Amino acid sequence: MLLEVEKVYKSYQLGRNTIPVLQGVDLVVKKGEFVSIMGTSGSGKSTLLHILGGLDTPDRGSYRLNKKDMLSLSDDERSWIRGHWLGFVFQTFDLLPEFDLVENVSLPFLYNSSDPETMRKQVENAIERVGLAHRRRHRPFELSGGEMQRVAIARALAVNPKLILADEPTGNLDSRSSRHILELFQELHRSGTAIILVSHDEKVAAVSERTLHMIDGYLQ
Amino acid sequence: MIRQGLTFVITAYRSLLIHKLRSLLSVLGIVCGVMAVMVMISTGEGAKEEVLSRIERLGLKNIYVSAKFLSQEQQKQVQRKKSYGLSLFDVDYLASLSPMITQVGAVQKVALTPVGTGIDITPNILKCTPNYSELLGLPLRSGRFITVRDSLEKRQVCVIGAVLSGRLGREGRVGGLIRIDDLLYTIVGVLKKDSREPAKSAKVTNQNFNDTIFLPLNIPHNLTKFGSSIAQYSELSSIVLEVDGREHVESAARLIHRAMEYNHQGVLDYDVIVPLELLDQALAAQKTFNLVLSVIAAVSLLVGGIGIMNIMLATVTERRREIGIRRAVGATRRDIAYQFLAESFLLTMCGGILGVASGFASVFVIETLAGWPIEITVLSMTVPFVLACVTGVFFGYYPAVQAAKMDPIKALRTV
Repeated sequence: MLLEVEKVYKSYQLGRNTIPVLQGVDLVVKKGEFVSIMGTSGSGKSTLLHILGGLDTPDRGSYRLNKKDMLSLSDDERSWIRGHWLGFVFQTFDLLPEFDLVENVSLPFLYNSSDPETMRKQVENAIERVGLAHRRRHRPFELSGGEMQRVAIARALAVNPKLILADEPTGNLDSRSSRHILELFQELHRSGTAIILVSHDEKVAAVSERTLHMIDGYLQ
Repeated sequence: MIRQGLTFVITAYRSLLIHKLRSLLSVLGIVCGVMAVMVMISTGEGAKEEVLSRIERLGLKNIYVSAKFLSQEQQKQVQRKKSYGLSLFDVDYLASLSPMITQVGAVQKVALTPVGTGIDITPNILKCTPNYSELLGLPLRSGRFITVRDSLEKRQVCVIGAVLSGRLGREGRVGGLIRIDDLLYTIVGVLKKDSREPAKSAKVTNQNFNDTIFLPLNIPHNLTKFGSSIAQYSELSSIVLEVDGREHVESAARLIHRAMEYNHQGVLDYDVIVPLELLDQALAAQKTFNLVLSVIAAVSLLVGGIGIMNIMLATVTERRREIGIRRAVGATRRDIAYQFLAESFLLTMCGGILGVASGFASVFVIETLAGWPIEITVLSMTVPFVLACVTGVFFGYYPAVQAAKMDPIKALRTV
C-alpha cells in the first residue's frame, strides 16, 4: 500500500461557527494507482488533498504514506517528504514568473540534497516527458495555459515522486489543452507513478482507474 | 548548501529587479546612513592625520610661548604696567625656571626682504637661536646650522630653505651671498626639503621652512649685565621650550603660565601653546562632530532599516502564493526565512554600495568646499558597508520570520 487514510476528521473555525469539512474519510491507494476524487466546490476535496500532501493536519484520524505515520512527523520531516516523494499540480499552474522553464522545473531541487548532475538529468528528463524540450529557456508569460500546466507537471515529476497530487489541473484550461493534460497524466500513470486527481469535472474523472466521490465530508 | 545560497541570492536579485524603483526608494535611508558613517570616519581619520603631523612638526615635548597682537585698549594697559611683549628676559627667566625645561630657543620674525635676487617669492626671514633647528627637528641638506659663535660674534651668515635654495640657482648654495637690507649674508647651510604640505586649517604656526632664511639672533653675553634697555626692546615672535619628557609637559606648561603672568604683570600679550593640548582640543572638536554624525547615521540607519522592514513585509504579503508553492515542493520554514533574509540582505548591501559611492562624492565635496582634511581608508569604507548589511539582516529578520511562519494552506489559498 502506498497510502492509508483512516477516519480522518477536519473542521474549520469560521468566526464562532465550526464548519465540518471531513467527517471520517477512509482512503487506500495502491502503488502506481490513478485515483480521481470528484466533488462540488467546498465539499472538502482540496482539504483532503492538502492533508495527503502533509500541508495540513487533520483533527483526528490516521494517515500513513509509504508506511510512515505522517501525523507524527515534524514540519521539517513533512517538508522533506514533499520534496522527495510527492509532486503537486495546482489549478493556477503557479510557476515563478521571474524564472524560465528549466529554473521552474528545478525548483524542488533547491530544497533537495541531490547532486547537480542528478538534478540536471532529472530536470531534462521531466521536460522531455511533458514535451517542452524546445521551450527550455522560455519564461512563463511566453507560454500558453496548457504549456504552463505541463511545466507545472514537469516540476512535480522532476524529483521522481511516488505520488502526484493534482488539484483541478484542468480547471483553467480550454477543452483541447485539458485533453492533452489528461493524456499526459495517463501516460505518467502507465509509467508507474501513482496519481490522485481532484476535480469537479466528470470528463476528468473518466481517465482514472478508480473514481471516488466526496459528498458532505464523506468519501464514497 | 552553496548552490542553495547562490540560488537564494539570484532569486532575491530578480525579485528586486522587478521592483526597481521601489527597491531604490526603500534603500535610500540606508544610503544616507552609510554616507554619514563614511564621512564621519574619513574626516576623523583626516583630522587625526593632520593633527598628528602638525604636532610632529611642533614637537610633542615642546611648549611654545608666542607674541600676541594687542588692541589699543590693551596697549594702554601694557604701558601702564610696563610689559613689552616677549623679550630675551623672558627667555632667560624661563630657562632658569625648572630642571624640567631642558632647552629654550627663541625666534624673531624680521620684516625685511632680500634685495636683487630676481625671484618672485618673498622669503620669510627669521632670526633664531642656534638650538632652533634641534628643537624643531630641521634636517640639513648641506653645510651647518647657525652656531653660538655666529650669534656672539654677530657674523653675517644665514641658513636657507631648500625651495629658496633651488630658486636662487647657483647663488643658493653654501657659500653664496644674499643681500638683505644693507647687509650681505653668506649662506652656510641649506635645509632638507620638507615635503609635508602646510596644514590647511592651521591653528598654530605650522609653515614649513622651504622658503625661509634663518639669521642668527644676537644674544648678549650676559643678559642682566647688558642692561634692560636692549633686552626689553628686542621683541621676539616666539619662544620654544623643550621639556625633558612628555609626562612633564603639562606641569611645565602650568609653571610657564604662572611665570609669564608674573613677568608680564598679568598682561596677556602672549599665548602659551602646548602641542599636546592641541591634540586634545582637536580630538575634542572631532568628538562633537562625530557625535552629531553618529546621531545622523543612527537615525538614517534606523529609518532606513524600518523602510527595509516595511518593504519586506509588503513583499512577503505579495508573495504568499509563492511561499505556498515553495512549501509544497519541499521548502522548510527555515528555507523560506533564508530566502527573504537573503533578499533584505541583498537590498541593504546594494544600499551599502550606493552609500559608499555617494560617501566618496560627499567626502570629495567636503574636501574641496570646506577644505577639511580627508583620509579615505579601508576602514572608512568597510565599516559603513558592514553596518548596512547588519541593518539588513536585523530589520529583515522579522519579515523573514513572518514568511516562514505562514501556514502553507493559507498561503496556497491566496490567489
